[in-house]
Amino acid sequence: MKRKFFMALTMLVAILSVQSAKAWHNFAHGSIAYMAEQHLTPEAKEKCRYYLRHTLSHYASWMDAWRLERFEVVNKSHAGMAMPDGVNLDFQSGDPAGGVMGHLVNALAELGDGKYKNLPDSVVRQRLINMAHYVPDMHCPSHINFPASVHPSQRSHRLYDKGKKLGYHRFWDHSLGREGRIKLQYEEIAAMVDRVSKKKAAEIQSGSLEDWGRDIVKLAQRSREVVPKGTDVATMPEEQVEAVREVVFDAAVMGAYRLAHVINTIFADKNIPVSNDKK
Amino acid sequence: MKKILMFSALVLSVLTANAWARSAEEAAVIVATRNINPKAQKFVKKHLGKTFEDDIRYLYTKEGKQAIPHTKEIHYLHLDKDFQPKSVGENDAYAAIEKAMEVVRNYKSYSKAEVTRALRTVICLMVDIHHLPNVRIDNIPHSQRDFSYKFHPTEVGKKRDRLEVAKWSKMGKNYGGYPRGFSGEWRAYDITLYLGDRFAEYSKGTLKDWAADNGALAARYLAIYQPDAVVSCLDNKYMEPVNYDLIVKASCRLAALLNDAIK
Repeated sequence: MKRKFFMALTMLVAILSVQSAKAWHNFAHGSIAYMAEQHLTPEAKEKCRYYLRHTLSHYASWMDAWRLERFEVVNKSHAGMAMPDGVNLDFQSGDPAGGVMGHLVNALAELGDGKYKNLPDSVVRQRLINMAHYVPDMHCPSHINFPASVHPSQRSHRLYDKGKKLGYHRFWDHSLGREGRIKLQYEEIAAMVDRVSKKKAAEIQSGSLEDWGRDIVKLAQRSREVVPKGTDVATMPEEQVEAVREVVFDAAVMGAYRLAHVINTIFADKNIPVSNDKK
Repeated sequence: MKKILMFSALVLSVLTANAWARSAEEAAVIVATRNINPKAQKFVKKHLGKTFEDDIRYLYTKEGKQAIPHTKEIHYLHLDKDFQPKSVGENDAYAAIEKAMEVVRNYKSYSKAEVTRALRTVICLMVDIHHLPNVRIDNIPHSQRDFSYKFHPTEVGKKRDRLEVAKWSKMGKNYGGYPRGFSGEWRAYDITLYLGDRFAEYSKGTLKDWAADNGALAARYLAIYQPDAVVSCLDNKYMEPVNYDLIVKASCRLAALLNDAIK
């Protein structure tokens, strides 16, 4: 019954997907931010209330809503470039507009270790709004690009839906949104997805940004294996639908717990190390 | 199973095509009930129980239409050129709210069913009058009917620039920033954060003042949103916080009405 339910959800994507490709679907962003908010420390929650005057879910899609207008820098920080051994941090951090991980490195350098206290409220607020979007975004399987020598481009990783072309990016971006299309709410999605143990949660949040980068690359690689080039998503066997679901839920949970960890760390006046060599 | 799910999803997507996103309306009422005095809370609970969703759309329902015979005009706020409520008979939101509030204020003289109907009417119409497309102003002809306008979803000249068509009556529905995963409760929490300690500021004035306030705001936006107008991307996007603010005002003012009536 459960498998049939998720099979049916997969089918829905063909009929109901009408949004343009832009990162996780709005619904997925809202859901992940909701989950993150449930794992904020009381101090971090209080600070978020002060700076945002809204929930994280409220601002979860702000970067998408404004990406094509005034803020070019916002437009370019939703995705990242992966190298075989992880996200290329040197490449990213060298260019503030260069990618999602670079953005996080820069934001932590700016806000971490209590430095947020020296910044104007509006700057801290904007950084939080951006993080609420791009930390989950960098866990979306379609937001990691590989060099051509490692994986073919997403454009050439063509999928199909009932025989019609379906972009790889679009498929994954809408993967959590499918549940939203049958009118679930954030609380219900969280009950379904956020079921990790405390130990697992601590594992997700531990390590340096470099470690997170490696995890993300593994997830992106797994997503390509789960849905190989040429797959018709409308006729995937139940086992494959289940595997897709596992990738999506893992990505959502990692995004949510790490977003919470980033915010908790900042408001505890601490920082997250960029790599394992240096703090 | 598949067919049922697909059908349900499609039906639900049609049903949600109301002026406000459903959870926004629900949140307005939840926030309102959290800002009323204990006596009014008891009063609301006695007469409504937990039927917020039905109450917000009460006059749109079959039951509501039968209980209070009315035309579509009852959902609109009719104002003169100075944004003062004008008399157009019973089928006007302002007149209907005043009439219903009379029942609420003197609830001891009415049956429980009559008071419940009046409360539901107030809830439904207080939300309606804060929806700018429901404001009709005398000297603004295009406020008298629904119309289509064009807008740029992105800044002119950008790669994805194109013209899209939208309906004035759908203003406030499904803006990008407010996806529908928000439950009424979670949006109510969001509104509470936004409102902070500004309840007194947002609920200041009388029903007449609020009508004029909404009229002035509607007039400002009707100068931009006109039949066949091409609305810029920024004007379009800035409607998002404006609409959010209006929902918050609706909730505070609804609470203020009840606080004033039930002391």
